[in-house]
Amino acid sequence: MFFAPLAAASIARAADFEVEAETIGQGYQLRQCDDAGRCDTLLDRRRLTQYLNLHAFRILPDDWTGPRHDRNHLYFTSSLRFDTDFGNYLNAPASGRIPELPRAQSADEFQLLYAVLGGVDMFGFLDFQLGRQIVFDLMDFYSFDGLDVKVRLPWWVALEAWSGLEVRDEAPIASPIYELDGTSRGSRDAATCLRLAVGRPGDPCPDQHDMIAPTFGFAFESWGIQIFHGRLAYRRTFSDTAGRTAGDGLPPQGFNEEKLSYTLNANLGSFRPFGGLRYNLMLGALDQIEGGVKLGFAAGHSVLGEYIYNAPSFDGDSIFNVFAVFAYNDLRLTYTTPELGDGLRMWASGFVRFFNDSTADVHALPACSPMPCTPANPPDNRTATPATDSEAVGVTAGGRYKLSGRGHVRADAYYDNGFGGLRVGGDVSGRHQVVLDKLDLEGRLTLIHFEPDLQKQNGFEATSFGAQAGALYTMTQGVRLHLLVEENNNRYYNYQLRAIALLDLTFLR
Amino acid sequence: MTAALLVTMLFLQADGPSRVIFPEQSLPLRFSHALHLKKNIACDYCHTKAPESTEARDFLIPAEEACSDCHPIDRAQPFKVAKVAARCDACHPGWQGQGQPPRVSVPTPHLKFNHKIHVSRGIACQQCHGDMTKVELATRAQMPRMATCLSCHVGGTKAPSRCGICHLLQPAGTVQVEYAEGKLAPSGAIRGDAHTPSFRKDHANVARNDEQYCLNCHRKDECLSCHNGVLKPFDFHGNDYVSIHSVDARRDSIKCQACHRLQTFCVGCHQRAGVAQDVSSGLPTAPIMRQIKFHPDGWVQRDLSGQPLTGFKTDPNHHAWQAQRNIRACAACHREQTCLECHMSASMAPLPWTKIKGNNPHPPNWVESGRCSTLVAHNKRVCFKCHATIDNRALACMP
Repeated sequence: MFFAPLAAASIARAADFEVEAETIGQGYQLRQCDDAGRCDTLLDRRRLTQYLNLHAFRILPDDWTGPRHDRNHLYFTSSLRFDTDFGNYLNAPASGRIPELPRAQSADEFQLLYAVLGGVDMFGFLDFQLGRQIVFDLMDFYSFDGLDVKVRLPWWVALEAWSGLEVRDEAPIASPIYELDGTSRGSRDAATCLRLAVGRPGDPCPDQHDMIAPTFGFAFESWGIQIFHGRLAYRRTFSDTAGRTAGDGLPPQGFNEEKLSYTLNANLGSFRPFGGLRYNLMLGALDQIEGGVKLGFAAGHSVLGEYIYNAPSFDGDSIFNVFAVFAYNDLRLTYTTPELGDGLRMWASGFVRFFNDSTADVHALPACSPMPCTPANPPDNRTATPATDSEAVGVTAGGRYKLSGRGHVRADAYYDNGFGGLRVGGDVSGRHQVVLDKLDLEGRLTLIHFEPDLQKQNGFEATSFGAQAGALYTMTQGVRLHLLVEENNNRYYNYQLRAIALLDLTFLR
Repeated sequence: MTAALLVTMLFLQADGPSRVIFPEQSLPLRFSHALHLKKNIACDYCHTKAPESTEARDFLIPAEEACSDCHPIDRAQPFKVAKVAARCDACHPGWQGQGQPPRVSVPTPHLKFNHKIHVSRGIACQQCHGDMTKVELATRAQMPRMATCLSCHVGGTKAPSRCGICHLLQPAGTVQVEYAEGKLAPSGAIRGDAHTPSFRKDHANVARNDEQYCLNCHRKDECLSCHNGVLKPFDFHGNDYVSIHSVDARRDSIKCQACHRLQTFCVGCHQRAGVAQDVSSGLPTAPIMRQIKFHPDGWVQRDLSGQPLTGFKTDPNHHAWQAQRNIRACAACHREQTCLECHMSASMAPLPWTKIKGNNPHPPNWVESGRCSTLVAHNKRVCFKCHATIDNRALACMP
């Protein structure tokens, strides 16, 4: 009798379970330069990545909060990754182990990317996520362990709040792929550790990254308004100072980030403006501005115009925040045709990017080497202009032709030059389903010339020809094998081979 | 708002209803709605089942019996002449009355739809199907577009606005987009997110604005299958991208950090490939003065032993230009400690292997700048990476 309610419940619940196992094997070669300046060694990188994703949807009965059969109310979703390298890529160089590279056969190789118990439209107004989760918005890609709750109020407003701990490489079975950028394991040595700063270089170096980093934030968001969507969000992440002792002059705590962002997207028929602002409270500056408009014209022609302002910003513990002075400004325009005739679609885009180089200001402060400045060692005021361009421009054009619904052929041509270097070339690619729902074949040919702007003295410019061929074989429903081989040739390689095999298994119940 | 919707609807009308939602039909019939409506015949006189229909798969095209009320059809007389058309080929062009007439095929739309609810709310047929008084044979063209639905199904006040109200859903609660007829993709009517061939590269402005909107069709693991730094998406990273990527990366022409963190992804690989100088991996060791220079002459003024090199701060190749313009390019190869080799404050103990210290890397008017005081107020730790805690210049900008 005690188990009767459980039995009844299990009958009423119709959860859907999905198990995905994806195995990715990659092998490719990387050119390595040695300390004598020779770059004729090829490293073998053989990488095996295994994903195991578990999902359970509609955990609660459909009618748990009312007759809304269109949405699962409670779900669990998770992704575990095992990522390891073979080959001589991981061999320690003569100067010692590279701390940023994962140790072979270590716990670093197991990474829980996310694991979330979530609810959607609970009671008709509440969403929540509990666990390790990944967020992407104007602030960044970001991952934290904690709770996120969103409440949709009447009057087209939703409130969201979250709190937890930032996922850093040091967190249990964590990946660094979404951690705040600007500091690394490699920086955690005597040169940068706080112990040295307080004059005790002999002490063990505490690792600031070992400290937990609490994070919280909130957002106001519009919802349910077709012609408008806006979101105002705030996030703060902070951490206690590692290894702090009384009287050492170190602060008890520091912020890793504090940001406020606002995004807006409107639909006024064929006129669709969008934009976003991000204010970095830690730096006291706007570090991201995006604005643009998409225009739709009769018969499906569209034009996208965008402006981007981007000022680099990093984890609050990173000194890169001090060096990063200037933002870049970017203007871009994209035109896309409607489908012409039997499935031809073409596009063209161009951009111009301005990297600030207000040369009059750079190092306007007295800059002497060594410090301090003396009459015999006068300040060195900059008078020259930088050797590399401060603008970059580029154009791209392409087209895609559908092959009677079973594939496509695509061609792209591109030219860009200026800051960063020259890149000019084009490629032709295609995919065709040769056996319906069973076998796809694909290929790609690329010819490209490139000249990195900073390596002119090394003669790093080259013209590269690459060919790629692949096959996607669907063995049965939910079982797919994808094979891809890429072969590149330029003046550095007679051949450089890359092979990828991907086996994807999905089981749904 | 109404005007905006009308413009949206006009914009979409040009392309007709989705062939994925409403698959192609075969209608070997001759029929004039215009003629019948002129005679004031109500829609439900013929479409008798429509007002009670609760599912999109219900077949609502009138059968012969509905016609027989007015048309004296007699199968035994396929060419019967009557006051009101009664010949078989009057409605079934080319059919001579032998066997079965050419088959009408109206595939089930990939939608949920309940006529009964809409009729009970007083919604007239023409509100969704348009003005039929000028239409001869009704086809897919008379099926409503999504914009028509959104004129009521918006905001959840007039009618529910969840995607699953009309669209078929996957177990995960996302909209089912794969059908035998093709793949369902947004027209762009709602958020300007038409999935054109270039949308994969341009989707950030939509996705960063409203993650939840994208999640109506895409599961988050779909996003992560690209944004994970494992497998290169070939439309972003074409053939031989390892050789070419430095141009893109220095220019930041694609947002590398959307998939790769500079300090935890790029640095390790660059160190391993020998393109970045590992000044001191691990604890202090003798510096490795590399023979190969990835930077041009004049990049730095002195080597780590303090010996002057060819470069001066006035040199057009000096690294300060590049660092201040685009520090990301530096952070892809160098750790913070590379900067500290030379830029550590004079009050700090020198690193064992370098004689250089105290080169001021701060931008102009740093102490007076709001950036300095704000950074200090938020995180003093960063100052103590270069300055000793006893260095009163470290917090000089503190209010």
